[in-house]
This record gives sequence, C-alpha cells and structure tokens, in this order.
Amino acid sequence: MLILSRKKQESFVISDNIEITVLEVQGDKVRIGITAPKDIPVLRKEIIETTELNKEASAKSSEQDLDVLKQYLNAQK
Amino acid sequence: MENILRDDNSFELKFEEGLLGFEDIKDYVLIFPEEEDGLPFFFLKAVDEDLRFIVCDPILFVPDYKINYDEEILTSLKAQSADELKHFVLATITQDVANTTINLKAPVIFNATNGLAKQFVLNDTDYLIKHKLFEK
Repeated sequence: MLILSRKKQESFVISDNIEITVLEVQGDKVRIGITAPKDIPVLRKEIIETTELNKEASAKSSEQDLDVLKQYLNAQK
Repeated sequence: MENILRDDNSFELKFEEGLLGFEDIKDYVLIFPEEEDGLPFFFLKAVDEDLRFIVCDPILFVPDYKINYDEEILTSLKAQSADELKHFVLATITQDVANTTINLKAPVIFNATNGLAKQFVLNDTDYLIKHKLFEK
C-alpha cells in the first residue's frame, strides 16, 4: 500500500482525473473531498461489503440452515 | 415484533430501493416461526422471487445494540416519529456454523405503520459488518 501524509486542504491526484482532498480532521474522523469523472463510482467500502454479504446470506437461508444454526445455538447454552 | 403481525405470523415490507445487491426486488414478507422457540430468528422472503434471508433481532446477542433513528431515516421511511420504527439484521450462515455472523453495520429498518423498509449502512458506529454470533 502506498502511504502518503497530507495536511488539511492538501490533496493528491490519481491518474490525472481523480483528486482527493483532505478537508477536515477532527479526532478520529477525516472529511475527504473527491473530484472524479461521473462514470467512476465512489462508494463507501461498507456498502460494497454489505452488497457481497447480502448475496452470501441469501445463498444459505433454508429451513435446514436455520435449524443447524438453532441447534448449534442451543448447544452453546 | 409480534404485535405487528397478521394472523398468519407474517408482515409485508416494501423496499423501494431493494436490498443492496438486489435492487430490483422490492416486495418482501417477514415470516415468523409458528412455534415460539425463544430464539430471535425469522425469515425475510421475497414475494415474487425465490429469494430469502435469515434475519434476527440483534438484541439477544448484543444487548446494548442501538440505532439512532435520525431525520434521514425518519424521512425515507415516511415516519412521524421513531416510535413507528423497528429493525432487524441479516445473518450470514457459514459452512462452519460456528462462524455465523450478523451485519450490525447495515440493519434493515422498517416502519411498522406503513410497511416501508430500507437497509441502512450506518455511519458513525463501530458496529461490524461481520459480527460473530459466537465468540471463540
């Protein structure tokens, strides 16, 4: 992973058409501005992860799957 | 949750934006087990598709789980007050059931008055996308 240090209002550029700017740093939170062409999707990573996880979750959702889970849960008590 | 049910132990939900990854599927029904087994699991099933999820009320596993029903959430579910809202989370059962997780970061919140529902990916929380149900 490439690691860069940036101060507030400083930015960096990816592939000459995406610009990332640090707008504000407050405690453990950073506000970031992104300028990118419209056809480049910018998504919070949790959204992509949840999308993948939803697909995974739907694949194992039968009565039997639930029964296995419940049995395991009861055995833990 | 039980007080919202119809006679057949179900409740209809409308996801105007679908679920993440299933954006085209809007109509679902929550189906609760016929026999009360003391466990907080139930099914979220698509009405017109062969698609369903095992979902749960996280409170049994994470007693202090709390969602701040903010203005954005109230507005998108057309709720007058937070009292109308309820939530559940999706469970991902893994090959080894011991590694089953629930997605605390992205709960489904719904309006028990009008049936509108949406999966919100919460900001400003430390809840995990893959919260293990069973600690090793």
